[in-house]
Amino acid sequence: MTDVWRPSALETGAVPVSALFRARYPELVRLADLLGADDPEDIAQEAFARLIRKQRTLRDQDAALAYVRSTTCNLVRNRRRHLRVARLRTPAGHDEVSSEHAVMVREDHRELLAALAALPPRRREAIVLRYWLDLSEREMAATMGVSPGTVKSLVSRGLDALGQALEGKV
Amino acid sequence: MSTVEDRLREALAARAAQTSVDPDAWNKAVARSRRRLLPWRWPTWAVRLTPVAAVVAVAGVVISATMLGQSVGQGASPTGPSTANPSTSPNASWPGTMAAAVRQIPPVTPFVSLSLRADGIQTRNSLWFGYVPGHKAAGLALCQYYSKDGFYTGYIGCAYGGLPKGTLARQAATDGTAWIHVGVTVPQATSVTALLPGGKTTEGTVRSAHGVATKIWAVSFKADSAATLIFRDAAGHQVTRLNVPKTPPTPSRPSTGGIPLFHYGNGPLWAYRTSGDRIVYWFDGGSSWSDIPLSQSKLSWSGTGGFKSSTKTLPNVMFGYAPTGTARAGLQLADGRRFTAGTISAWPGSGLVFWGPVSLPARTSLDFDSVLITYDSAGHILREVPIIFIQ
Repeated sequence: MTDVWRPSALETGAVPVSALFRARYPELVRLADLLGADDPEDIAQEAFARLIRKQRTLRDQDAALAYVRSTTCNLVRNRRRHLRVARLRTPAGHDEVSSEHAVMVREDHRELLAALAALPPRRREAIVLRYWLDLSEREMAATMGVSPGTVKSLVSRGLDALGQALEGKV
Repeated sequence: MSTVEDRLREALAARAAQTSVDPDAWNKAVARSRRRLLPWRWPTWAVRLTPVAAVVAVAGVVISATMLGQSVGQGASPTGPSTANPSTSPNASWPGTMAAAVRQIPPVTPFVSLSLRADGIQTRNSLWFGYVPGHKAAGLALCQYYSKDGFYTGYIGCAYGGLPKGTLARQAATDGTAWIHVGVTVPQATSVTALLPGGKTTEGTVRSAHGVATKIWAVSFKADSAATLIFRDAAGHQVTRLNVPKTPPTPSRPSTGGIPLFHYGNGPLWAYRTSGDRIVYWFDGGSSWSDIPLSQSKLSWSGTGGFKSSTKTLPNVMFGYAPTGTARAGLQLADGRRFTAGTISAWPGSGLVFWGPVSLPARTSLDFDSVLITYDSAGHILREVPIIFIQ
């Protein structure tokens, strides 16, 4: 008369989530961080938790990776939207990049990352997926849930905005 | 390549290199994956884990078993050869959880598939009979796997110990407000109707199960509802009936009489004895209790299931109660490893002691073959009971 938890059963699905986790979890944490998540680990863990629940419906490892990447982007976007609302209700905001990080990042990197943080979320996502994860336009489109044409446009406009922001600093 | 693009790659890589990761992240992600399938209603025989304040629950894959009360003469038993035939063999299209369950309790009869609406959602159910390894003497088990389209809500359970005619063999939960009740009944039955409070009725399904002298039935109704199941033959005559009791409500936390067992999360894990003669555990983040009254069994184990307290996710720890005279108790896993803990005094005159807490290593799970072991003060084993036999 008992229930028996079997986390090991997670290994028996179509997608071996634990293997994907071992290989990709740090990357997802970093992706969430670069997209501006206030708690990147929380985002990445939630993304994998959703993958575990979804794994039976995913056809293969590639689909699983696309799913967690996409979920991470969506979660960060939602989280930042929530934080923006929360900040409107509090007198003081906080910097995108913590002071602790700031002293560890080179000055030129800091300017660029600050400009990146100021981009609209979709453009920021496109830039990070393109220049950090080196995803193709097709992979980016799948991750972001938009067309390849939109991806191209977001990257182009993001780069323009970053260029303008950096020129303004000079 | 533009300068901006070069600088971007460099800056992003530098920033990313500063990020560290939690070594326990996998366990936390798994714990989250279980919690989110709320609301999950537990069958009456399951150890209950319920939220207190935060969003807390446990879901995921459950392999459960319950021992039925009494075996009566004409219980289900294979009437044909128990050798495998094509319809009892593993199917490549099965979800991994079902394939794993079938490996553990190999079917001795062909599978019975049936669809049933529960909570307005079409569920698919596969049922089979088999013997729990090492416990063949307990009789056939009726096993069920159910799933819903579009969701990973695989649920597996087995009931065994005799499968008497007309007896509710087991109940399976959906992750909504209705349960799918399944069991066995007399061969003459061709239909089942659940009579619900207020005069409502709901129709179920009765199917033949090749190789056993009984039929399988399934019907869905709300978890918090009692019902009387009426089984009829092809001529519409009632051949048997079965009363399904209302699910006991979530116990309220008593205001006095608690015993702090051990520290868990932000405070003690408390044990209370309820008026229903049951032990209920409360802690910061949830509660756990048994549906079996103490008068029926004085040996029990429970788990916290990796709850999230008000401030953090807590590890899954095992604990329970045992008869007085027990000095130590714990669990032996299928691979032979034992994890035990000392005992804590219970209420005077109760005949009980509590044992625990036992923390299993990360990524360690209990299995069908796990055994609860109790010891006396000299270190001699008092009892070794597979956990599938006890609550």
